[in-house]
Amino acid sequence: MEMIDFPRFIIPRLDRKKVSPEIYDEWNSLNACYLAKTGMRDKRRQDLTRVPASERFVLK
Amino acid sequence: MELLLIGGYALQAYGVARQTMDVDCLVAQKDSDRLDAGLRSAGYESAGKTENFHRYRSELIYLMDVDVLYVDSETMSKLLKDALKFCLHDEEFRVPSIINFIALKLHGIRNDPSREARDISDIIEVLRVNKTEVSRQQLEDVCRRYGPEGVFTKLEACRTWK
Repeated sequence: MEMIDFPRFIIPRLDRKKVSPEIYDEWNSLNACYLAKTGMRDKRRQDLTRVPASERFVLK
Repeated sequence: MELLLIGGYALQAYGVARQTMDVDCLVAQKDSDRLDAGLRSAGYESAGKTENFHRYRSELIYLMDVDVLYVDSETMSKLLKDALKFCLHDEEFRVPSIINFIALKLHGIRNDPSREARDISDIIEVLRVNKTEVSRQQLEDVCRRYGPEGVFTKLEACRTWK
């Protein structure tokens, strides 16, 4: 399986079509499988040190 | 159970797509046990927990990591009131309104400045695709309430289309 070349964003005025949620989900899921199979998911998990917001979000 | 998608998957509802490696969602604290049971029955295990957050992982390659943020019931009700809906594989999902999505992102940046580059990028793309949805005054107000000092100036500088 090849890494999917997925655009980070749909950039207006560039020749990129918007994708449906289904196509997005398919691309994203395939990419996640690729990362898992190649061991990149495990590496990312080890590297993931981001601490979520310590303060609870309250809508004011 | 009421659940809101946030993070990369939520961006689709705003017309923006970017690669993501996990599913971020937000639920009321009172529903945490129910969601926990559902995720565990689907093959997930806990991979870290704080008072306001729970991370789940599965060894199954087709199950993405799931990050859950907890809020109180009052905030959940407010978020649900003007949530947006979108469909994926015949399932209906909800995401926060654009202004509330921005508030969540700003809250995250204020609590963890290392998130700034990525989260500001998300905010800018959502604003760019939804040019008329958030006025300058609304953006300034939400930045003041939820964001770190100086973030409004940064966002305004990036809003070249305004």
